[in-house]
Amino acid sequence: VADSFRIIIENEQAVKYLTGKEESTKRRVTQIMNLVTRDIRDDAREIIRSTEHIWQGRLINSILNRVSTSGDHIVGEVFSGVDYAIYIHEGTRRHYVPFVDRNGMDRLDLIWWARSHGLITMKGKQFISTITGQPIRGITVGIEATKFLEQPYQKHLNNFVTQIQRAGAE
Amino acid sequence: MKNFYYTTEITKKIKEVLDTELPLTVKNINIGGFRLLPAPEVIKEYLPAVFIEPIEIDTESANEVLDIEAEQYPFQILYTAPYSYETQEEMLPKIKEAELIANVLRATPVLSSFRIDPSETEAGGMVVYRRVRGIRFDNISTELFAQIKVPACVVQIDFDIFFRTFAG
Repeated sequence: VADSFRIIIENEQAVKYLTGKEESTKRRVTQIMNLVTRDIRDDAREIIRSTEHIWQGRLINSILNRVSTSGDHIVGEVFSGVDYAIYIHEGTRRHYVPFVDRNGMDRLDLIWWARSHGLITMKGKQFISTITGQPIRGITVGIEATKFLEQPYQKHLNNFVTQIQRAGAE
Repeated sequence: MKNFYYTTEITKKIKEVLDTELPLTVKNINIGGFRLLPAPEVIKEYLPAVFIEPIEIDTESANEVLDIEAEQYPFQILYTAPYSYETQEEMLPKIKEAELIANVLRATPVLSSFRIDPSETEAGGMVVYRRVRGIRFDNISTELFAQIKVPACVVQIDFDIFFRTFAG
């Protein structure tokens, strides 16, 4: 499991435009990069917010953006630091996501106990409380891919390239 | 080859402390997790209960030359009590009871003076210190009991024992 999951924006055109440019242009590009990564981050958080994967907000809070510069090189990143981010991003086949607390501890033993006594049943991909008929929060089986980083990246890519070109032409 | 790891001994020592020093009436004190719970219909008669659950051994070398290991043994102490989910006044007494357990764990000299003598087969070692890292009321166990309508709640005490083996 990866320590973090990230999308890196390292635009070749941006590098080309920046070579030999004034400091003010570089600052402008950094600013654009900051804005774009912030927009991607916000959209990524919104995608997670609209799914069933939100429970304690760990994933949402872990999605951050960062821009680093070194010489003519400017790299923007949007990333998540939680280890299960890749599963939420890419989706899984029928996959057991443990009932996990904020320290990452699961309570599979309690799920096991509840299932063995008929308090929890499976309905399709969901665990259901036998008594209330409601899905059990905190357990998901079979995750649909959310592409929570890729989608916003694709959405903002054209705008980003246009802005970089403008900055380079200034 | 010497043994350097003492989960069994430390866990049994914690159970011994809870068996003998608790200022609280509990019906069962077990080592292990919730798989030991009885059927939901009779769970009320089984509670209150304490489950001592060793989590892992987090170990690193404290001195490679002297062959000393510094080991952290985190435990979850799960105080499981009857709970109706019908009145808010139930919560604080359950927390108080868990705090009594935590008080015993943090103060008992039995744990602070616990040591295992070295031998040809045992590295041996001693408890350096222990700490109650947290007492959690809002935890997934209570949440799950609530969702499946089992009249029980859990107050989780995160308890760490720091152990250091003797020089080889």
